Amino acid sequence: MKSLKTGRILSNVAIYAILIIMSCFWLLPIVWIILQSFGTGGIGVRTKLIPDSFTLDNYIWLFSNFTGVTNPIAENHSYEGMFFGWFMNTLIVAILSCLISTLFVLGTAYALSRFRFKARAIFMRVNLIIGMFPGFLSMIIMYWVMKEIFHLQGNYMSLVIIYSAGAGGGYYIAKGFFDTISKNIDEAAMIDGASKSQIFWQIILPLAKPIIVYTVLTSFMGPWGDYITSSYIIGFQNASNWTVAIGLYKFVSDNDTSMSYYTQFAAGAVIVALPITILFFALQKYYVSGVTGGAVKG
Amino acid sequence: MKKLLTLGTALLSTLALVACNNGGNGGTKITIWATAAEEAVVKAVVDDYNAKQTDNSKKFDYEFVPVAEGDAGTTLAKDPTVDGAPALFLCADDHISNLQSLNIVSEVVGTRKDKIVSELTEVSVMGATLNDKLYGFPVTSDNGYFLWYNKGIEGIEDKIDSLEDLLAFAKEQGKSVLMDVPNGFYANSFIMSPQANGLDSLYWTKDADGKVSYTSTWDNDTGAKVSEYIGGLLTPYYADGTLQIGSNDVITANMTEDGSLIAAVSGTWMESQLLINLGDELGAAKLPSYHIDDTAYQMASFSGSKIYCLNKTRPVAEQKVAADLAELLISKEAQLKRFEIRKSIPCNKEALEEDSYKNNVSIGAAALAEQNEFGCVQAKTAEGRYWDIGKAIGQAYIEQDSQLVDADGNQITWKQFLETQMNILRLAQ
Repeated sequence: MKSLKTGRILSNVAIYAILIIMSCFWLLPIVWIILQSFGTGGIGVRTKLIPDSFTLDNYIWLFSNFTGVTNPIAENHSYEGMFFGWFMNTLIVAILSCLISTLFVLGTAYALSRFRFKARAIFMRVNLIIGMFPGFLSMIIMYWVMKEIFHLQGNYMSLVIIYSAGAGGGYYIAKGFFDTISKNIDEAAMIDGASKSQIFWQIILPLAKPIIVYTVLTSFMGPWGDYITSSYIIGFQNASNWTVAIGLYKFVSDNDTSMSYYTQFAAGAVIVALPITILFFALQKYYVSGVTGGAVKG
Repeated sequence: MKKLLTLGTALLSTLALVACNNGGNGGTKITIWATAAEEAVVKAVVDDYNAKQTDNSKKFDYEFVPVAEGDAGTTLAKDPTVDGAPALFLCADDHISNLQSLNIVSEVVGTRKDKIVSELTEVSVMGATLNDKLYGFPVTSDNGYFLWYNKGIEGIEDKIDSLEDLLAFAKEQGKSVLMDVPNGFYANSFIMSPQANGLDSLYWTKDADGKVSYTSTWDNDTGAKVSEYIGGLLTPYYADGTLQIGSNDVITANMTEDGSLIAAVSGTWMESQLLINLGDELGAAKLPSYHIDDTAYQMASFSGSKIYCLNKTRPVAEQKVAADLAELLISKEAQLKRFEIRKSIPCNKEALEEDSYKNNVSIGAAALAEQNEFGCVQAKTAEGRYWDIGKAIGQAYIEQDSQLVDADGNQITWKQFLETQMNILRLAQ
């Protein structure tokens, strides 16, 4: 009996030790970024976890177009006052893509869940195969399409088209959720004279709040943090059209600026994380039930 | 209808030519891509020039777009007709070969070329030259490396002339010296010593089909002797931590914050950073020498230039204006202005002799100028294929015992190792 108890204690200690070590790997970068964002100096890569002294200057500098504060150390002021613009670009792209993508995803999921049509099975299989190719494989052709056909190369609005055009392909979880909503409800509505469209908008969607929240969150997060596609389509020469991902990357990657923008980069990273964190906290309840609800019946 | 079109096209072409030939800049506005810090220089130089012009058509009209030097070359290589493509762009000399093979940069010919060749330093002109053809307007030769050291360490100034002394001194103090040896950018420093294989012991050329071929003497007896010595010298120091490797971040952290580094091989890009942290204790000098059989071998370095290039895909009228503007931007006055604003080292021979430069040159720039005498043009020595080879050789310098093995794991000599590496370099297609 005693050895059983000891064994349990030992295994608990081992498990907690592993969990603590893993949580260090998980949390340290976040803690480090937050601490550095309040660090002074702003020169070069920081090697200390806790800065020598704390300041709000980095945040103030990011919004220097409002605060008028310039970087006293960096000789190169090329990125001064641009962060807010990048932030707004990203917000516009993310919100628009999110709205369009959500509509596409829910529409596709509804159609595939409720309708039976000839190419349905083939469509789902083909979509599965297409989905296996990473999205960035299409970057080069997307670049030329945006440049030569839409004349939107270099403009962040082109990202909205790219992000939302193929969004419908990610319908799986939403379809799974719709499948769990009884078809008797549809039939009852149909007897009352509702059209398919009315059923979707007025019956199914109100019942599907969790999955809407889930879809909104995921389709917002993709564009919000994307670097590969946005840097390729917009290009380094159009600084005013950059998204935050490109801007922050340039803070620490340019040879002549990487020495000067490190703590500002950390501050920028914290600001970028804020909206998504707030969104998550606010919608956490729905998010979890969205994922699990959709997973009940795949 | 067809006739009408032909007539219209002919008329337009004539008009275009007339516009080209009026001698001035004819209201042609060009786009310039250059690193953000260059904007102030362009503005100062062009404003000054425009103020002196009474004829408006002779004034320059431009739009400046800040694009980092590395990004300009890669972005245009990807698509030279990209939206907002520049007529004039500033890039590093190692982009020239790629841009030339993609037919993106215009050649500089005639009197413009003669003027550049006669007025600018050889090392900068070489950086912009491929197969005896000039592909740009050199702005500065500031991309090289030399030795930074901490003057605050007592006795160090007596040790910086000799690699052996410096390393022994660091070990004695329990400190370290940094040189990123397993990096092709620094690994060439030993073999290319003028007393060893020489500054021209490795170079590449490209034939009409764009095929790159290397010529090298690195695997001769001298190369093997030098490498064996350096491998024997550096391996134990690397193993006990006296020799550090790493990039700018490590120098920043260990030279300024915890003081464990007493010297580091790096370039002028570290200057403002190191100055803020070390202040008057920051020292800079040419690289040390190493010694074999009482002979001093001066360590060599790479030298790189920044070059204004013309985008060949832009209309001829724009390229002409761009060439005129580039000539203005590399003139003696402009280079001194650039030095004043950006601390950028001039490559105009007369500018280098000016008091306004000599009296104000920073310690890093002065050390680089001194080291440049032992610098070989990076763009001529190394292209894409070299870097892995340079890295392998550098790695063998610091881990001689584990690196000098063949595919079956048998120990090989330095000569065999270098032969293998050079054969890869020479034979690869």
